[in-house]
Amino acid sequence: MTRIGLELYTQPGGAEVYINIRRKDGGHERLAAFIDTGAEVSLLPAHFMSFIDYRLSEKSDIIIDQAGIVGQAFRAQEGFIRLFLEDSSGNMTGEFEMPTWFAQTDEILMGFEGFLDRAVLHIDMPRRAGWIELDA
Amino acid sequence: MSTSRIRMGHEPGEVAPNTWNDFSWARLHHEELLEKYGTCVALIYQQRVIGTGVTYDEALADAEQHLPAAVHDITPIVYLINHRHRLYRVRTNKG
Repeated sequence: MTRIGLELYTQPGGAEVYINIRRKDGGHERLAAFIDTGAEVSLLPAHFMSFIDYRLSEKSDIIIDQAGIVGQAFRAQEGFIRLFLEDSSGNMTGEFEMPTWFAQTDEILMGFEGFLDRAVLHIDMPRRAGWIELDA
Repeated sequence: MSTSRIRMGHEPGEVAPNTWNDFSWARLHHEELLEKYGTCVALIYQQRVIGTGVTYDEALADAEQHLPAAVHDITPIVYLINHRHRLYRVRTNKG
């Protein structure tokens, strides 16, 4: 498994990983993505569909009812993207496919299905150190 | 992979000289960027915001429109400026 360093920050605290999503033109787009252990599925802004390579799932258009305090519903399109992880020290995973929801959002969230559920995640906030290991 | 002057996308392992510094700079100045530009997609090159928009395509068009004519072949990062705070405001029950 390849170990990829995370970018940690505080106030508010968070952990990000650099993802490289395959583009329609064959290249890759490097983006900082928030690791969200509360997200069942990863989330991308819907406008990214203009330039990234994806295939829609059979369900395609879905409505997601959020549980918990927020309790809102939002529409999304369910699809699959290809990506690899990278860190600023030059470590890279192989490319893999991951399910994602494309929604009206302004953030990139990395959730469980096809991502965290296949990873080892280590976050050490006192030492500001973190990494993720993924078999890809 | 690119417009005439702005190179977007890259091959695996390819890292432009500005890439990691620009991500670090954006992360460090996230709150200031949010205050100045609001929630948006930003293209950042050498610690400068060169284009913003509601979408990726709008940010790219904005950068292309405002770049000086002499600028060619630049490699900006794509950075999402957004609210990191999930809790918008915390207050007492007295308001």
